[in-house]
Amino acid sequence: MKRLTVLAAVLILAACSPKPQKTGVEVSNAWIKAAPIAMKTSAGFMVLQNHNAKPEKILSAEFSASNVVELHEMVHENDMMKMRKMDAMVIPAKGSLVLEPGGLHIMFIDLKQDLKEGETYDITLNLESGQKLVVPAPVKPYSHEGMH
Amino acid sequence: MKRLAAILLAGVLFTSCSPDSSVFNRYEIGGDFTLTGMEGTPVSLSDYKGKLVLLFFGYTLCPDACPFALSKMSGAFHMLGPKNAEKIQVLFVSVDTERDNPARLKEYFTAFNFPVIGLTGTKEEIAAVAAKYQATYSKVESNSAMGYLIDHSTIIYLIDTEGNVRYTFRHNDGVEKMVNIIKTLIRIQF
Repeated sequence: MKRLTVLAAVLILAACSPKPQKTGVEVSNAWIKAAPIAMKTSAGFMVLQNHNAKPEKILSAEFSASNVVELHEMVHENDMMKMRKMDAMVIPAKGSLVLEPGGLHIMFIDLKQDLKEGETYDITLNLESGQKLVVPAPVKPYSHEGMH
Repeated sequence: MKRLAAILLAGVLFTSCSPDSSVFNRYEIGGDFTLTGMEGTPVSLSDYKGKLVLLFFGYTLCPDACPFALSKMSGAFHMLGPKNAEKIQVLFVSVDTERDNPARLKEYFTAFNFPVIGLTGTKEEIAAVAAKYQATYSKVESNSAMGYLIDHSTIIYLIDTEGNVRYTFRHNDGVEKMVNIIKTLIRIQF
């Protein structure tokens, strides 16, 4: 009987509690630009959604197929393409951050191997909160139309 | 009769205004140049008289703009088909004179499946060619492991069979636009 009460309580609690709110940082549409080793560099892209009430920062990233990984930003102005290394990337509170060709990206420098279409690699993001986010990302060719 | 004349006139006007000719502007930029190719031997723009040339300024460690431009050109070649493709040569002028020697250019461009030649030269030679085409670039010191980075212009120049610039593709121009304009120039010139 006691057991039944507990069960009822659990059921009521489950039914009445609000939908569980998403927390943390969610990643979608991750991909890596296909590149032969001769190109020496490649980049990773993704969309990050921060469900928390405070901003999150990507402090660094890890990638097994290149010797160096950096956070970079591209800026295209007056027909000039400019690239800069960033110390961190901020994902705003309850907001999102888009890493895409022509903009922010995780830069892979000094490739150790070919990155071939169809392969999948993990990109690990080190967040300011201490969380390590492991993001599996498929390798895809650059889409010709896909850059804004 | 009057009506016929009007129709004829309209027809003539329409033809002369069709995209075939109006798409191409006159450019004051450009001209012949000679740089060093991937075999270490001189390569001139005028070597490709009789072909269309797509000219781009970039560098092989360029992570984004150059692979993107090259991928657009690759897509364009694919859409143009082999018969049109053999009428076109891509020339990639490296603005990274310190790192992009002929061997490095050869290593980089073997990865591409369309006719592209990487060109290098002395600082002065590259600066002179860039000036002719009003291409801009500047070396930027950086704390990146790449060492310095290079800001550079992202225009792809379409050069006709006589060596004249006929169109400048912008960074945001898609492959289809490139293909349409190249096809138009092929129709005019071949």
